Amino acid sequence: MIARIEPTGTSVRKGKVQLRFSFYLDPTDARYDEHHIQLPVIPEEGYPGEVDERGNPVDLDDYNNWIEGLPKRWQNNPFHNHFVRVSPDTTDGEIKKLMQDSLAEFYGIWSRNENILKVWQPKREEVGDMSPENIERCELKALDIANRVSSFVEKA
Amino acid sequence: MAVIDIGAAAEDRNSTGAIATFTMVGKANPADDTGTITSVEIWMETEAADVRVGTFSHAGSEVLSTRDYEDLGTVAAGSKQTFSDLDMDVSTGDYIGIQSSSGAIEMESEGGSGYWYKNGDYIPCTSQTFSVAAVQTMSLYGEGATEAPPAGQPYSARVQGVQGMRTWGGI
Repeated sequence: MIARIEPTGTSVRKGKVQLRFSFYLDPTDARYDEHHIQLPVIPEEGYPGEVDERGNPVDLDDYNNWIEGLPKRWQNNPFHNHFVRVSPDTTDGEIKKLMQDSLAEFYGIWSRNENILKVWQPKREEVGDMSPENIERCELKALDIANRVSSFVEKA
Repeated sequence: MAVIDIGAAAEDRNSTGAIATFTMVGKANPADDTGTITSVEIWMETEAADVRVGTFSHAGSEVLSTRDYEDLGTVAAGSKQTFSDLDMDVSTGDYIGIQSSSGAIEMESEGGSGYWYKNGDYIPCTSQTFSVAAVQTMSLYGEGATEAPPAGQPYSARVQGVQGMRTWGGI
């Protein structure tokens, strides 16, 4: 299994850098097939049939038949995504340790076929320094990490 | 510490709902207590970028206001995606909503409680009037707990300069 930082989930929240860890399974991991799935390749022009004012298909049978007829591709989705908040002084090594520990914790729950939302317990955190100076440091740290996510890949 | 839940189960359904350019708030299963939503489950029909989820109060007459929200980033399609250690305030009776810059969410075409929708980005918003879709159900669900959040004001900011990320100011 692998833990990665999803750059699009990086932000600054409550005076800290918020990171999103995304956890992926290998073919030999438990319940691999649940998130190794086939998706239709949607053409750029989208569904050609009639849609309502919200862009939703009017004829569901036609829409589903269209989906079934599209070419498919395999995709490996995260089996879980977990957010953490760190100070702007947190080192790469500390972040990687967090990734390893989180991956082990959540894969343990997953492999035992337990419900992550029921088993995992949130821990209350103190709000970080909300000064403009610290917020700016957090923003720079978040941008730095988001631009170097290839450096943050942890395998188990 | 009691468990709170909000929204409808994130599962593979028989239809799809485009969430790009719309803010959508599910009417199913309003929050049953006051506290913090710490986990969210979503099932997308197609991949969604810049996903933001929020809790909403309904003042009546389809007027909604955001209570709190979290940015999730890109959400993959084709299987249930779970997100933990979020921190969204929620009060009894609140609803859960979503917006994104692309993608579509799994939706049940009939037999449900429906959802509110409004064209544009309305997370956050204050006293906005939404339209109603009467019977559909979105695959968007949250859980949390009744423990009080820590002291201090929430602040969120997106990081600038990263492809695929939005920028916006703090609240």
